[in-house]
Amino acid sequence: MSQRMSAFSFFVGAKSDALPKGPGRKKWFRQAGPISLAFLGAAALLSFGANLWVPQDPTYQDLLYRLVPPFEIGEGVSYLLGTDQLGRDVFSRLVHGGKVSFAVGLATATLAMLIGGFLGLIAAYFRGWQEAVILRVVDIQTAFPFLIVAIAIVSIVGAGVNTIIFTLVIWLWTPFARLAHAKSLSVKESEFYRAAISSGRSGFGLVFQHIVPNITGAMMVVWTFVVAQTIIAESSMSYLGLGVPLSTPTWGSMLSEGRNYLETAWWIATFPAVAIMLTVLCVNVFGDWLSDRLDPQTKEI
Amino acid sequence: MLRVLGSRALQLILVVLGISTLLFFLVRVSGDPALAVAGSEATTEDIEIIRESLGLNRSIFEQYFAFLIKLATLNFGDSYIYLQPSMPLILEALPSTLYLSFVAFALAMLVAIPAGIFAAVKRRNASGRFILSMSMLGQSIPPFIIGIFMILVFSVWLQWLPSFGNEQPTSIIMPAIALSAVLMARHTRLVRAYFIEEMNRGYVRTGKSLGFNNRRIRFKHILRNISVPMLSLIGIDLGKFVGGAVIIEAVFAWPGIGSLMVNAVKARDYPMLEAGVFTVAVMVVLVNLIVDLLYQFVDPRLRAKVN
Repeated sequence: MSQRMSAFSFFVGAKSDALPKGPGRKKWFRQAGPISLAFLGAAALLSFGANLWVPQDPTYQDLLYRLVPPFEIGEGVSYLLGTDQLGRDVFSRLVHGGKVSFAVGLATATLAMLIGGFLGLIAAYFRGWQEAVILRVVDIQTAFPFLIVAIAIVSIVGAGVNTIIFTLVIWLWTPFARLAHAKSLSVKESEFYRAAISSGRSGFGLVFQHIVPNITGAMMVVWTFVVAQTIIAESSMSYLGLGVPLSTPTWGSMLSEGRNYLETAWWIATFPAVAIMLTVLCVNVFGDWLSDRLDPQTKEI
Repeated sequence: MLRVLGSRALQLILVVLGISTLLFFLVRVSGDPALAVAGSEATTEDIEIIRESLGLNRSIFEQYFAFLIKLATLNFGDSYIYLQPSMPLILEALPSTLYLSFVAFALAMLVAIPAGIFAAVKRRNASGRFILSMSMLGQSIPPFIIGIFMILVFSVWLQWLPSFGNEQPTSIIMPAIALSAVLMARHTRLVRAYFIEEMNRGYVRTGKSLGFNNRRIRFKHILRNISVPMLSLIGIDLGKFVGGAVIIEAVFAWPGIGSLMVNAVKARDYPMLEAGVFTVAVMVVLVNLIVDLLYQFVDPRLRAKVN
């Protein structure tokens, strides 16, 4: 039981003084992880619940109020972050646009973790040809620029949230497989694993009770970094016009529309850019914090 | 040496075959390519003619076999947009992509290695922390956003640099910086982490007790020891780097294969897309081959094993 990491100990059991207390390491710095997580949670909730509270329909066009600068109160209408070239409210679009980023990020990373983790476990458990094939595919995919393949697939299959998730998953399972494989092999070397085998455990019970709990921490760390990578990939694809259809607001497509108005209306591109950066930064900071606690050895995969 | 070459050649074949096959079947599964080529105003007869000319009326196995022959002879067919053979067009654009990638990569390494070492040595000081925080920030900004805001500041406001194309010698500056930023930030962190790890090794203590000065220990001994793991990470990252180049080329209208491929994707120009994907695959494998050879140059232990 001590080897198992429950969801409870995962969040609560992590000791707050796990970081080395070097001189100059401020208290707030140690709290950067939880603060980032709280921020992300709030942002995700506000985005997913956008329909309930956002002042305007994100696709509503009001051509009388085109390119209104931010923080200006108009006659009867106020646009917190201004309006774009079609008179749509930038703030409402920003909040709604978060839905796609968060949904794609979370769904892709989670699916990729399940698939990659499963394949990595298979490779490490059976060794043999399974390992050879899986690791070979991982090697080849890691070296190849996945964004190019992703763009190609989206252009063929057609744009949409599901297509993007599917495309990113078939590319981003590799870091999880590599990590699950490496970590599982080191678990198999351990005393308790041999003890479990000699006491007659085998098959699923062995894998799920003794290997899986011991690789979960490292997998969670990689999961956060893959979320960050996915959000960047999705916004890049939307920017190129190869992401979600334009009728759905996304941060990437807002940026590509705003690019043409940089000189006259800086706010159209700036606010989604800030949103992407802030989100990815928080995910990265949280991942860094998590890795200090759960998995100090694994620096890089 | 021959083994390295052989395994890379095999990898090249597998990459190209795997990705081309994936694209081939996705094109067929996701709908009739003839409809995409013909556009919305084509009549039924038009579509039949297009199907015939593309060989779509044959069985899927025959089509796949014909596709493999195309792949083996590097003849991907005429581009639908340019109405010329697609491979020469890609090869024409290749030098400008290589130029951009090389400058950006060199820039990233020239900054990342000293910055990483500095951040490792000064890891307890504010200056070291500052570099670490900056690199975290740099990793969190997608390259195309850096590109857009550099255009805003340096082209629109200050009017110092051209915002697109590659006609002027200064054109390279902004795309190269935007492309290098992520790699720079990531490798600053990595150099720092590896450097700190090596600083605790026995040979460093031995060096100190023998009275070597810090510079000798850091640059002669530690740097050599971290270059091997760094090299393998660089090999992995170069793939992502090429992906970033596609976006940056689109942002700055840089006339490389990235711009060609993005346009090809938008116009469903599959011959062009296939030629582009093929070329990128060859490039990535070649770069990895160079990295393999560099290992032996950097690490004498590997050289001894081979000979």
